[in-house]
Amino acid sequence: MVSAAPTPDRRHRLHEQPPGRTVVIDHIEGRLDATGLRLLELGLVPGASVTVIRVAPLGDPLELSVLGTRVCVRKKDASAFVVVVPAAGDRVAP
Amino acid sequence: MSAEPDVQQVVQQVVRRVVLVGNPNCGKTTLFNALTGLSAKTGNYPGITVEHREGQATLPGGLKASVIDVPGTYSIVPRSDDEAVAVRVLFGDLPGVRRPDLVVAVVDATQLERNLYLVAQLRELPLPLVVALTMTDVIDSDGGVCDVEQLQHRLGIPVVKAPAIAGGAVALKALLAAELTSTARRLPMNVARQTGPDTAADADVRRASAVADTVGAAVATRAGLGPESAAALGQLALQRSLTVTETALPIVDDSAPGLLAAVPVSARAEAAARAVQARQLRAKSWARDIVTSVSPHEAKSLAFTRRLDAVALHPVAGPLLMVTVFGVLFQALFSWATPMMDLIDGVVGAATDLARSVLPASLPLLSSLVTDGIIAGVGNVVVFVPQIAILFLFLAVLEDTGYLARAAFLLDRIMQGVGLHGRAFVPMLSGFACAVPAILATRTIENTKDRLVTILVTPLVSCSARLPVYALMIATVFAGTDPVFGFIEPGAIVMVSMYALSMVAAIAMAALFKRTILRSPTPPLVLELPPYRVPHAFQLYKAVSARVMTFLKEAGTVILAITVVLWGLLTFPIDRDVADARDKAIKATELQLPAGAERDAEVRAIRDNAGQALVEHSIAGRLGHAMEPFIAPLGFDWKIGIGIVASFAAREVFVSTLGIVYGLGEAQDETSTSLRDAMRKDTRADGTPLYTPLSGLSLLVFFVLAMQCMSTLAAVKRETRSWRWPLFQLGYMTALAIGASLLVYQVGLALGFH
Repeated sequence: MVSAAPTPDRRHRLHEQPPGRTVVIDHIEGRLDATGLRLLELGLVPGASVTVIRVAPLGDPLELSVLGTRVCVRKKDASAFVVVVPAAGDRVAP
Repeated sequence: MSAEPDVQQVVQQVVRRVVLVGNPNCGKTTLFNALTGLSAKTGNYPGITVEHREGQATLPGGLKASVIDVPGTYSIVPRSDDEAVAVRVLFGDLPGVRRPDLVVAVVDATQLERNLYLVAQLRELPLPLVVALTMTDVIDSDGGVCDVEQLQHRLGIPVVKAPAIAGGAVALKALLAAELTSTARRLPMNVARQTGPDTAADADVRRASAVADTVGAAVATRAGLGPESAAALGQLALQRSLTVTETALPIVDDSAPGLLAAVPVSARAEAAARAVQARQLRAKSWARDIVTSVSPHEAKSLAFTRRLDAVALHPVAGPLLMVTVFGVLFQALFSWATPMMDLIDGVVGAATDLARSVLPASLPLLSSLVTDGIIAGVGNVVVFVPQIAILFLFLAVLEDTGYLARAAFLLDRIMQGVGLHGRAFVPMLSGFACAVPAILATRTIENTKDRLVTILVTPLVSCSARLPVYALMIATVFAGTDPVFGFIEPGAIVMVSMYALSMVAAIAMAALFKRTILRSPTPPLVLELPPYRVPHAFQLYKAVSARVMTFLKEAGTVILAITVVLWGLLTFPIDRDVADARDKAIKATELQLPAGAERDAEVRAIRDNAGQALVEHSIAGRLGHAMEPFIAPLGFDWKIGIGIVASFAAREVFVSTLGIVYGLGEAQDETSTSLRDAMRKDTRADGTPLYTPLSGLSLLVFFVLAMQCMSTLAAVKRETRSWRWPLFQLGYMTALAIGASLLVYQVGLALGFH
């Protein structure tokens, strides 16, 4: 997978991110399945910035904001996305 | 035979086909309605249960075009059966369906970048393509600007605005007319590619792309799309090879199978991901600075959606709101429909009386056929209309406003446990009112197997037609028994238990079917939460009327036919002696007594008495007797057997049939004390009472689980397009009902109950 900016010390998984945090997709780990491909097609490509909006009341799924659209994704599917959490002061394109 | 096909071919050549494709929630349906107005019809392609809509548009210059609205899709690589139909229509990959003459990509201007991904895919194919920009009215009201000319320049194909305002489709119509009459061809774009580092691993990825190109060439030949589309179709095949999917896309799946499977998965995944990313970059560069908004952050129009979502998706307020919304829906199905259903019953009653008085008394059989067969049959069909209309009005409002997606977000965790899609919730809830509209509502479930599972188990959910049977049996066998703990009526416990049994049975059978005959993975959730929108009145009207009309036409004919057959079963053969004696007795009474209430009562008593003997003599009566040895271990006798046969018309008919069988006439209902008394007095051959708490419970369990409803079967036949599934459903539910009743009765007997 083409990486945006490999900074291993700041790598996290998308499903672990708290609501309100904006992260940048780094790459997808593991086998790319149908759902993973669809998420790529919806804009969750390496380099894209994604904001976690909220978690459903029962703990799953997540609501994400990507390309200005709100998309719901199960944590299981989101866990394949390795993200870079910008340090304070980093500028993330909206 | 010889001339007709030719004529049809000519007509097909003249009518140009325009297909609207676009992302879900992009305003495609609104645009479709604006183009086609009242001419739109809902239809199915042969052998495919997913619906599409087709209508005629009159274009400038008098040109007529057939406009086809297919299910929304984010990509031409389908993930659900709905999306597969969209793609197959596009490629002309359906039996007897030509490739469209023109494809209109419907693009939501407020979500330009995401929507342009699909355009980027389409642009790589040699399809005649134009773009219609919707929601430009939203941008206007936000004070923003949309640079159509620049976008058209970047895409290299015509782009027009198509706002959802009066006359908003005029520009699109003019463009359609121009494109359909033009012979110029535009070349497709090169496939967006992205190269990686020149490493050993990259060699595998390049090999994956090369194999994909080979497969693409095979697909292109098969599709008749020309060699220039090979690369794009290869990418499609590559992505498909990674998605374990049961949706059919024969044009790709049947071309050069196995070639791609020989390439390592990781290399294919990387190649596919690169292609998607390259296309995303292309979409991004196309969208850059096309729409400029005055507000620096988010558009004004979204502020309302964000505020509402803060409540609708709130951890506490969200579920509460959802319970309220579905509570209102539930209440509407139960009680708002009742006055309309009573009105229909009243009209059917009046029509019956009118037919009786008009038809000559010398032809009692004809009169009976018209009233108990045909008029009753039409009534059996029409009586469903209020509930269907209410359910689909609610569904259309929930869907069009965007709330249904929120409900699926809130419910996904629970439905995941059952293995069903969040959308299966609404049909199963509606099943408590009536299975017929509920089964029609399974249409919102995108995957055929999940739809089928929901269809198969929905009739187990205890519908309102079972209530009269519950009420009659509980009042007959449990009234007068001692309260539990001194204050809880046993009848209430039994009633609640029946509802619990129905829910447990529905969920258990769903889980069983999901793991056996309709095995499929838990449906993936990639759900968009679109901005809230005010539903369009015309669109709601179209959604409801289309559903009601299809039901009347397709399920209605089956219901009417079965009603007439059931009438025949309960009527023939006629015991001439009884019928003649009855007619003589009625004549004698009419001569003896003056017209009035007393005479009417006397005549009715004669009729009811004869009715008992006539039914016993009929095929249904004989069936009841023939069934007795088989249903006796369940605690039932032949009279209940007749009731079971007759209640196939509708479960509540069980009550009125028992009325006839006990010689009380058909006007009995569950509150009638004379029927209850007659049933309580009834005994078996050995003198013990027939209706005991145990046999009553056995009968109740039977009615919870048995498929005693021809209308449901007709609806299932309509929705699955074959008799296979309704017959399977009839079989499994009957077996379940007999097994459970047998268990209840025999275990009860063994425990010393009787």
